[in-house]
Amino acid sequence: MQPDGLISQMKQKNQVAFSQIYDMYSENIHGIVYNIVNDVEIAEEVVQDIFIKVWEKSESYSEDRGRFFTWLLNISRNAAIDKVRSKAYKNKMKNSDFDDFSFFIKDSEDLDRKSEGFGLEKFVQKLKPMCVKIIDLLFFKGYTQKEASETLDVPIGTVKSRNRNCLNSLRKSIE
Amino acid sequence: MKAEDYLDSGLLELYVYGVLPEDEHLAVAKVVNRNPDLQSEVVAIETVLMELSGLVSPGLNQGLKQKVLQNIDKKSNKKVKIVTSNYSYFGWAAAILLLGGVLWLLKLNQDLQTEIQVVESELNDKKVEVVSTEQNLNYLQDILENIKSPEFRKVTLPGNEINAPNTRAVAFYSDENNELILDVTELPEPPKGMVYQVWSLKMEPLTPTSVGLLAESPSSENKIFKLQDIPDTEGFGITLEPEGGSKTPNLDQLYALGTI
Repeated sequence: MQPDGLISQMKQKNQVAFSQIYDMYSENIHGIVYNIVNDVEIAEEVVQDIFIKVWEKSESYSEDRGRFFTWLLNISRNAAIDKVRSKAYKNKMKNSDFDDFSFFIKDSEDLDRKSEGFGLEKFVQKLKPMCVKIIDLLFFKGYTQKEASETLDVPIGTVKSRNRNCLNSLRKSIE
Repeated sequence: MKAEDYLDSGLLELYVYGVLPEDEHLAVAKVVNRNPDLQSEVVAIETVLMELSGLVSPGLNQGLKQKVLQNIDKKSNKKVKIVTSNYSYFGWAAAILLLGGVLWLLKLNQDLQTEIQVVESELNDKKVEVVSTEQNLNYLQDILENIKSPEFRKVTLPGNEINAPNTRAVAFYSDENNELILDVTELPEPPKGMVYQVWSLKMEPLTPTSVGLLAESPSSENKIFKLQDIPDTEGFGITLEPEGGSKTPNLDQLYALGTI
């Protein structure tokens, strides 16, 4: 469940609650941002901006309008995409060649990971390329169904169900 | 769509991703918030996404949290500063109080200046009074010196029965210096427009000669007068005459009469 108590305390400008929320979500936000900007230094910069924004805008989050995680995701993806569109970013990242989130997971096998991550990691590596692609576009990059269907050249009606099937294969790893 | 139909639709995943159009997103949120089964499905989806996104992070610099906290602390302090802009009201209030204080001090200063002027003027009056008293004293000392000397003879002039009963004037006369000192303390104040005139008298026949108007002679508080150039005399009379005096005494207005 999401930490409703902490969220409401943060909305009342409680810095301790905010600090706990940072601990809970910072790695996830970092993952999203890093997958978009593909640069450690820039990703940290963006994560910092995102959490400052979270602090400033926390009043605008409402449970009635969805999950706190979803709210964070939207802020994070937007901030990362804004960064990628910036001139400074384009100048720095001329020679980038990366594809999707699985690239980073493969790339970082030697890093010290949380133990529960290892199971998922194996499942990610076994995912069909189409699954990696569809999760990457929808979840990590925030594509709409239409954008995803155009990019992957699949019928728009199948995007939803394909995505669910792909995600379900990952869920098995932690259930 | 029934609530159960959401479970397998794939819509909940997209809902958690936050990639549905806003109206659809809000509609799903409404349904999910009312249905515990859908809620637990959403939590399960969120859990795997948390895992997945965490897995992609190459590890976050531990110092970053400190930076973020310092930053929001700064922003909170800025907020406090905005709050301190409320203190500007206190600032204004203080300024107004100060202005009030200054005006009050100016007023006080003005009052004190006025008071000083009043006191200075009173002081001047007192000085004048002191000078006048000193002069009076000198005059009386002079008179006293005179009447102590043997050449002055004391002559009592009893008050006239009609005009000044039960009074008297006292004269000290020196025929050597031809001076007369006259104490009229007991006589009534002359009415307005009238003055006392002093006459020296020769008896056989009765011949009055004016020796002066008391109003025009040096005196101590108009009570003790000094008259000079007194001719040879056998007595003195005091009559009340119109201002400026008369050539001959008005005997109806005789106030005091005495012989040497």
